[in-house]
Amino acid sequence: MGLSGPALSGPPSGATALPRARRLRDLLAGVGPGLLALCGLSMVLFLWPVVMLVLGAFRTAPPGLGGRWTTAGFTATLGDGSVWRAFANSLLLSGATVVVSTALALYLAWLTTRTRTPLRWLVTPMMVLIFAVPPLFFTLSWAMVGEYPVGLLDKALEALFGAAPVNVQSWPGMIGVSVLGATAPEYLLLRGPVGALDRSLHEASLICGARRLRTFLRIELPMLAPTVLGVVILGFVLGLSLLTVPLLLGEPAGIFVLPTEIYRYIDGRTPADYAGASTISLLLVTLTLILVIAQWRLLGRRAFTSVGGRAYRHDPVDIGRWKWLGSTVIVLYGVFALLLPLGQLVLGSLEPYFGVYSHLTLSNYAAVLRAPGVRSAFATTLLVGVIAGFAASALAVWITLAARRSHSPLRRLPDLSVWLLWALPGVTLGLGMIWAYLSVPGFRKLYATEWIVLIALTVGTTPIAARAVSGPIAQISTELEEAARTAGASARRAILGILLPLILPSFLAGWFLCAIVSAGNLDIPILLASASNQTVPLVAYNLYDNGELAQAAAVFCLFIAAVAVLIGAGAAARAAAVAHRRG
Amino acid sequence: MEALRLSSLVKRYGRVSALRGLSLTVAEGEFVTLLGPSGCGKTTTLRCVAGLERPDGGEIEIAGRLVASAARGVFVPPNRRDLGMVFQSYALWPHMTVFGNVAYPLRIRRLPRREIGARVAEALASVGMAGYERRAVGELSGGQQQRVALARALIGQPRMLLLDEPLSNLDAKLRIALRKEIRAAHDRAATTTIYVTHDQAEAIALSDRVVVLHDGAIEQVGTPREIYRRPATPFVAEFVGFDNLLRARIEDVTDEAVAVTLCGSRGRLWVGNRPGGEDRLCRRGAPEPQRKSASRLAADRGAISEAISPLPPRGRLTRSARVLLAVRAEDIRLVDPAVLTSHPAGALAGRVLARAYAGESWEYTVAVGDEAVVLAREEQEGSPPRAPGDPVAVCFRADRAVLLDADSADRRQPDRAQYERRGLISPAPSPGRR
Repeated sequence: MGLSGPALSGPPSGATALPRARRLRDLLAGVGPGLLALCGLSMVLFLWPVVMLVLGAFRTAPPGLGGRWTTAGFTATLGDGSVWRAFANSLLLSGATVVVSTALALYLAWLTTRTRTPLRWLVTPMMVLIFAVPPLFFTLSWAMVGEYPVGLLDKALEALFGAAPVNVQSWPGMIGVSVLGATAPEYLLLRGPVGALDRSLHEASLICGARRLRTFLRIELPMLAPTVLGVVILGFVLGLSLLTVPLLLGEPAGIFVLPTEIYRYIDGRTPADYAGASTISLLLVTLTLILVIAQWRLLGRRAFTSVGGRAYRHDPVDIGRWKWLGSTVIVLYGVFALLLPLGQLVLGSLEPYFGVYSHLTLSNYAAVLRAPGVRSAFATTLLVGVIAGFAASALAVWITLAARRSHSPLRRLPDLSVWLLWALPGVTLGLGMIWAYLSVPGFRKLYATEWIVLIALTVGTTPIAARAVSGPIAQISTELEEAARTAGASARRAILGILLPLILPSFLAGWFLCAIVSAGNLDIPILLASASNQTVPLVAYNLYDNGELAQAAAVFCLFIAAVAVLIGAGAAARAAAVAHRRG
Repeated sequence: MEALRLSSLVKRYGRVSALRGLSLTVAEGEFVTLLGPSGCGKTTTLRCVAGLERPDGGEIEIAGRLVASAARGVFVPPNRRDLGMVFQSYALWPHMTVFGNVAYPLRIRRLPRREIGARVAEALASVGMAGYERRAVGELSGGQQQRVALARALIGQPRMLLLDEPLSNLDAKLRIALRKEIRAAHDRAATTTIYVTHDQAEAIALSDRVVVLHDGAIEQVGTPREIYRRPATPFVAEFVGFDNLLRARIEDVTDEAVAVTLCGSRGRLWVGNRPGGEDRLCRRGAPEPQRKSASRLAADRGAISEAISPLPPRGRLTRSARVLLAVRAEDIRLVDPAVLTSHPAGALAGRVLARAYAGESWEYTVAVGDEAVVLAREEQEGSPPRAPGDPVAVCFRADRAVLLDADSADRRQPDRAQYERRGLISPAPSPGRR
């Protein structure tokens, strides 16, 4: 919007000085100190790591150690054939995943919103649960389920057919596990639009003589096309960002993708090749950025709120015998995405050694709880999750309110910089944070503390928080605040007495969501945390990496229990608050 | 002293001008309605008065006190203007009870607890909501929410009451009941009220004065009766329900009446108090045309009793000038074509093109001459309705018709061509042959 454009550059000549000064004044009109502070904060938190990531690709030395400008690392990395193989693998994994998972998500959304398929009520809670399980643990449990030849799946198949053919550490395994995970968010995004499709359009087509399948293909699918395409693009971006699945299932089989390459360039090489890792990051971010912009152009931001039509009551249809196929799909999905991995983890955590199904024992829990690193990891995770979640939610509320209340073009800057983060996969964000904070003398002290992890998780979850709070805040009519002003309340009093109490529920929901996402995240701490301040996902990953599968499973079960306790406490507090208001 | 004075008010949103130099004064105790279609600037005007928008030009004075002036850099925030406002969405705070909502203005003014309780109870009782104090606002119906919003707006005894389309979210029956309550509340509180609506019936039933806005400027200001009977411009005529706006030419001007011919037609029509009382033809035997309940309400209140002349100021009435003849469908009567020979000056020859049953009346579309197509509404009188193709004599109630300046805008006219295709009338002569 021209901040660095004609408004600020160039000598002011007599003829053009006036319009230029005026444009600058327009830009700054109505910019209070609050908005300026927010813009500054956004640039430091959100834009600075991105800029440093780009610059890092052209440095000779690791972050914080000086060095010179060079394109040597950049060109060497782009000349590396394995990088381009990883690039192709990323596209293949992401593409295959998104095609299958979107079709499955669309089918399940249609089953639950439009038909009377038995068990359809099960789908949404199941999806929420799968979505809430950190991707690392989902992958970890699948790595165990499909562990050749001792996982539950192979054991079951062996008992049935006398052969154990499944090895999840392979292309089909990677794609299958990714599909199971990606279906959940896609379903949650598609459910609203599919349910909101005006039923009368469907009926109009039937009355014109079209059959149901033709109606779906000619009427409903074209109407949904923009939404579905938006979800496909989003799924593609998420697929490209995926670290855990290729790390746990691909690497052992020699399959590398861009995020694992970035990790390998730093963790798997001595000395770590930061310029190379940054170059690969640029490759990945360019790709995701193009997709995110395409998605934005296509849909505005609707795919991230729910694409809603009018609320419309309609009766689901009976699809005859086909409904049993639907029920079967629901049950199979539930077994593979939830029951099997969860059962494997609980069972695995009780096995004396992974794959030994007799002599179940609690010794893994004892060992895990004795280890000092694990206990401190739980404490760190709790701290990081709670604070990062709070900060992310507060930032999201602030940014949403600023965009709504100011008329200055500057108000879009924080909003846009948060939007940019959708295109920044977790590993690249971690790398950008290293560059950004090690290069500034004061910030350098944060490195290898839990604070840099905390800041990075705040930055990483703010887009999620923004998505969670912007919808509800948009629904708080400005008239509510104006009514307080005309009733005689000062601006401050209207904000404190009316606006904040109304925002509070969405703020708390955003806090909760971000705390859980932060606590379960592996992509960001994997590059930033040091041995002394690991988070639970990192501990679990390291145990898995060292072959301690049973102990990793025990850590996961403890984590799930802790999250369940927190969710229970949150639900109880909420019920108490509601009861208090009613009473 | 005026309760409100707006001088050359200007408001722009980017490049769009919402208000272009609007000036208006409102007297103490007056009930003034801003009427117009959406986007005409009525809500913007109200929000400028409330202090929710900052005008880009002009000044606003409330009770002699300057509250906004772009030139002098004066802007008094809404909380210091001593106003009560009812919003279109009611804007009841969902996290407070009914009591909390209504008590809010008093709490801001730091009244003692006991007085607040008493006054809230009184305010709720006055809108028929006594005993609802502890309810959550989400549990109330639309009409109840509206009443609570009204109580909240009035409880602080504001200098001025502002209402922004307060009834537009309610069903028709409730709207009529509540609009009486709003007027009663205004009379009881003896406050000055500015009311914004797009519903002409509401404006006419409620107001002392109606301000019709169009495109950010005032189109006409007048009593409800003036607006309803004597619109000053084609825009106002259409907006308040004149079904026919017919192109005409002035043929003769007398002291009391004007004779016109409709374009494409021969016979003369008199508008005004017609010499010789010939328009009795139109009234004889016919019951008083159905009046809109809104106008009856206004008349019952006795607010307006002055006679309204249907003629514009004399200066504009020159012979052979082009004008628009505006007349409501119920002020046109269809009679036996035989009268065309007995009273040649009393009616125009026409032919019924179509008819539609409208409950208490029939609506006829009638071709008059080569060009005009008029809509006439007749109450059912037991006689069989006229059929398409029937020849009729069309007469106008001269004292109800209005002459307006012809403007270039394309006016409402039923599509003549479709009846030509069906052979009900012969095609109009093309411009080339004329």
